[in-house]
Amino acid sequence: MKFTLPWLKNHLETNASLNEIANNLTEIGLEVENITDPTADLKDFTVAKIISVKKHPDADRLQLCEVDIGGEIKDVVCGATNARKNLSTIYAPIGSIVPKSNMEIKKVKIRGVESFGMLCSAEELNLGDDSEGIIEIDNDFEPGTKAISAFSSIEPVIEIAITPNRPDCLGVYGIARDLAAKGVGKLQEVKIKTIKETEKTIPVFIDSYGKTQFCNLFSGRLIEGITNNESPKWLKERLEKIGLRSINAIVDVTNYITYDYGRPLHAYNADKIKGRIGAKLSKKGDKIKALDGKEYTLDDQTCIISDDEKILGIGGIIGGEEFGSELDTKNIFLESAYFDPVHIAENGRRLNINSDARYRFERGTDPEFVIDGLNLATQMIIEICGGKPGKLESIKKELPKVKKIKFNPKIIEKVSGISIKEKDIKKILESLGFEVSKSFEITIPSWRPDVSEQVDIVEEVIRIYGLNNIISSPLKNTKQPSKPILTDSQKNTNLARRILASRGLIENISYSFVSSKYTKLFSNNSNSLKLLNPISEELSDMRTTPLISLIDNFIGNKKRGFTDVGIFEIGPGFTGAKPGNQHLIASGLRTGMYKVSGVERHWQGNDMVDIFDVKSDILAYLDIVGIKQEILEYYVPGPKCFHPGRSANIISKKKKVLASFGEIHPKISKKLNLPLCVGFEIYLDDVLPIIENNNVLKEFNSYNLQSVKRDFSFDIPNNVSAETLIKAIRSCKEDLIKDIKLFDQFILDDEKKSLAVEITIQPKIDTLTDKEIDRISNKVINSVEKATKGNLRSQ
Amino acid sequence: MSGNYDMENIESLKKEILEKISNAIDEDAVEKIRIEELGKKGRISKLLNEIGTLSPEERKNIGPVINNLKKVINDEIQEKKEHFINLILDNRLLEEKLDVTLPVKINQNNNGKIHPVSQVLEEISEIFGSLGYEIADGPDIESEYYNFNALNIPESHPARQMHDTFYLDEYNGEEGQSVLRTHTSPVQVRTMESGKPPFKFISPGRTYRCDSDQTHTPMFHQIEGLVVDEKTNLGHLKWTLETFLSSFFEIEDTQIQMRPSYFPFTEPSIEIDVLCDRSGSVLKIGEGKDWLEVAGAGMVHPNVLKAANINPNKYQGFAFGFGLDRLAQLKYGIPDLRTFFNGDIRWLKHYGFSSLDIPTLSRGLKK
Repeated sequence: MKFTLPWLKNHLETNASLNEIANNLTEIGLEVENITDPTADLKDFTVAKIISVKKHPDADRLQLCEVDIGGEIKDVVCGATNARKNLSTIYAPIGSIVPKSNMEIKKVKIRGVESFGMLCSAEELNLGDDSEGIIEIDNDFEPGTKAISAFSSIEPVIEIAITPNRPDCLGVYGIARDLAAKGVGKLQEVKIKTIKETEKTIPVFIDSYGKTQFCNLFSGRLIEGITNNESPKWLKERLEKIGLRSINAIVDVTNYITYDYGRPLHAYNADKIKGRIGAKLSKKGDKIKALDGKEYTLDDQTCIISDDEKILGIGGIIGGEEFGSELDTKNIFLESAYFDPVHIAENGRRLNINSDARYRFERGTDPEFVIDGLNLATQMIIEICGGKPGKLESIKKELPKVKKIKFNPKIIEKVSGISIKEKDIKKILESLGFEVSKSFEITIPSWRPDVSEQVDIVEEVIRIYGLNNIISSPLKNTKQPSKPILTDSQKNTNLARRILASRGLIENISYSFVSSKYTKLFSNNSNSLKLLNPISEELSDMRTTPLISLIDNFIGNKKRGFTDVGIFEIGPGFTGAKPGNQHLIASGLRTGMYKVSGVERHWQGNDMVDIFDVKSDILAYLDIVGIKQEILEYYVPGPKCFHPGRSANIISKKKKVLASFGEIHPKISKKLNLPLCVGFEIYLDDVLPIIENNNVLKEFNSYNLQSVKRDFSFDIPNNVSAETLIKAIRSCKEDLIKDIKLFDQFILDDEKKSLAVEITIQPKIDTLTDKEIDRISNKVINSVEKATKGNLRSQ
Repeated sequence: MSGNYDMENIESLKKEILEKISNAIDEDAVEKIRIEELGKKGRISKLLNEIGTLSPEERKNIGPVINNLKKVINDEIQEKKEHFINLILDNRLLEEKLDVTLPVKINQNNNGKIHPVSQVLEEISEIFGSLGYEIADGPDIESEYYNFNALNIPESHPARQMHDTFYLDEYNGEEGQSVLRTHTSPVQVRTMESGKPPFKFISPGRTYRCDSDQTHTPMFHQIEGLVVDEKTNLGHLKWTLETFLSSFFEIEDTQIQMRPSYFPFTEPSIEIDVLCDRSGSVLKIGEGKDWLEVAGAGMVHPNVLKAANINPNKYQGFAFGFGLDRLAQLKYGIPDLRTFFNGDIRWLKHYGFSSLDIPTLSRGLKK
């Protein structure tokens, strides 16, 4: 919402400075977003007259101007095509600040020629949108005159942000009322003259359809014999200063009342109205070409304005193109109505039309000001365009009721912590237009649809009284926490993050939505989870796993020249569109040479990543959270996005998939042009319950007897896994076997391989005899040979 | 006493042998001297062997002298031998030189990085944890009911317009259509629904809006706080935000300014500005004359309490919300929000944190 200072002063009698007004606006919740104050901006600028123009020796588009700035001649290099001898314009001296760009003017050499200052365009001075050439002013102004005096109507413009609850401040008058309540001046009374009406009229109607509320009050007046023309200068300038385009006097008046009082109006060409005019609901398939030049097809629940034959406009949102006021319009029907805010909001959203009228109606206009606004506009039109006003027509359905609430003034202290005297509370409320009885029964003004409860009254009082009066008061923390602040899941997430980062992986945080080109490649079913209104094609599908985002991020990094990358992300993967259909997944990706043992080319040697790098990422995490390898099983293959022969799911005893890892499927790699990539996923939600069950601290046992190590080498079929061999040793259930290490693999031929293990036997009570060691060894050998269909390699 | 056992002879023998040792050119030469003098047939051995031919009186006098001679010579030989061994070793070590300037493999701890948003969330958790707040989570996909209605955002509210909210093609009965949560406030409702007052928690997380420019990304992070009990008021809110900001930015007595604003779920609603200095090239928090908006806050609207089955006549409290990414930007001087989420490893290495850099109140909440 923009307005000029003089406009505000039409309604507010005040001596307050621009700065005071601005500060008070922000303090009462009408946040000042921007102020342009040409008076202050232009204080260093003067009128200058060009006395000679030469071409720049080295630049075709530049000219060398000698300018008279009042008793002194300056050389200025200028790029404007309209710079010519005897032109009076505005000169910015060295050291001044250009209002538009905030740039300081310095003495500079432009293509070898020194320039002492600058000649300015209207745009550079914040005096308009004209950036073509330098500003041209009347030769009556002597060189050296302050720039400000060359412009008759320089006015500061204030722009404030109006929150959706304050439709009353979508008019300058409402802003003045709030400022007056704050003590910044006195609110001027609205004076509405009695209109001398003729008997001429167009009858009005509201067609009700059941209980649907759409238009609660429809009023209007025929005005005959007007001379529509360009608006007078003051009106034109006032609208242009706040960024509105002047159309013609009639349209400008309706816009002016909209911005002055927050009261939207619409003027129809009365000659095109057949019979009555009024509001009703559209029929499905109704069409209208609106003032924005677009044709809209309506459903069966849109409020339209129509005569006995046709649709004239979409109620409260936009008028029809054919029925508006043109320069040659002689007779108009001026409409002022109250439309239901919810109805307008829904229609506006559905039709996707943003207009000043919709903006105000959907936030709630003042139902008591409908007729006043109509009369104010009528008066203005007669003054500007002449014409004879006809009879006021008005039809009313149920309007919002006047709200009264019982207020307990003590609530103010309870909510704010500060106590305000009852008489001050009353004064503040009354200055805002509330009526307050002795017993604090409060009547809420018709222009405040946002106020309906006691807390709303509290807010009104506090914001005018001043939030800076709130006294900071410690919220006592009565007891120290006796349990962790973080939940188990949050702790686990933080731990996983730090473990993965400590393994050289860089944490990413990516959007939860990805391109469908990825979801197609990654998901098991073809129905990916789509947003109905994605921000772009590239961000259309909810990701099933952060791994997808990592692949996308890697592709970005590859384009920047980084092929050895190790990244991870902990975040949601989505399984469905209902609340809660998501898993917390820690995903990781290693590419190129980004191995655990080293992340780039190195003189001591480094290889390409393989699945054992990512497997070790998973196991590092599982080990630290206390999940032992013994309880894990490997199911091959892993998820579909991985190479079927080089991937696995890691499964708990209860058959829950805790994690998976593998080489990115060669088909995916080929489609996305990826080098060798290995990835992993840890399903943190499923790991969590196992951590809790294992979280018991065992007693420490130290055995003083020396342990014995034995190596065994087995020749087994190629298709038998290492895990099978290790499990076979574990299945011996030999209490004394403390550790099993597989330390060598050797492929013998197409059918057989040799695996070597080291077994650590830890005696507990007595030193082991050779016989005992042999017994354990034989048991191990038998078990392995049976399980693997292999045999001990002869020494 | 005469002959070989003459003191003078012994002394000259010692001198002669010592000189021989001193002149030896290598370890072998020393060994040769050892055999010649201390070997079975060596001169000193011979003297020792023949000491038995002397009278007991002489033996008593001369014995220690000969023994001393043997010791002196032996020590000297050993020392000389060691000298030559060391000489050889020293020469060999000079040959064994390595180029110590060759690069080592970088510690994995240094390669890995924590994203600034994660780091800042841990910092904030530390502060609110110390103030007795719990941390509540909730789903990213929400129903319209939890995202809007329960938060006193009626059907016609501008925030419900399509251009703000991401919708999914899923309906949850009376709870309405599925949306991506536009704020973390639904967590407040869910958490209050599942517990009993008093409440004191923060809820951080991903949030989504259909909006994209230099200061808006379609996904961003919020952190909200809620305190509900029987008497928490705006003064407590002010204290809480001052305390938090002081602790987070490590600035003593952070000054804040409260401005009236509007959020459907709070009444009164307030925007919070923090003192800052924009005059230099770097924005400084906690000094200067300008104000910078950092948070939205207010007293929880009675309708929100009602929606969570809490009696608004008995209970009241405040809520506040910060942009987590924005806090990270302000604290660590990160200019562009969009760079947070595109995984550029150059950016992540630059702004990321070491995995060992765990923020705690005792160590401080800065890098």
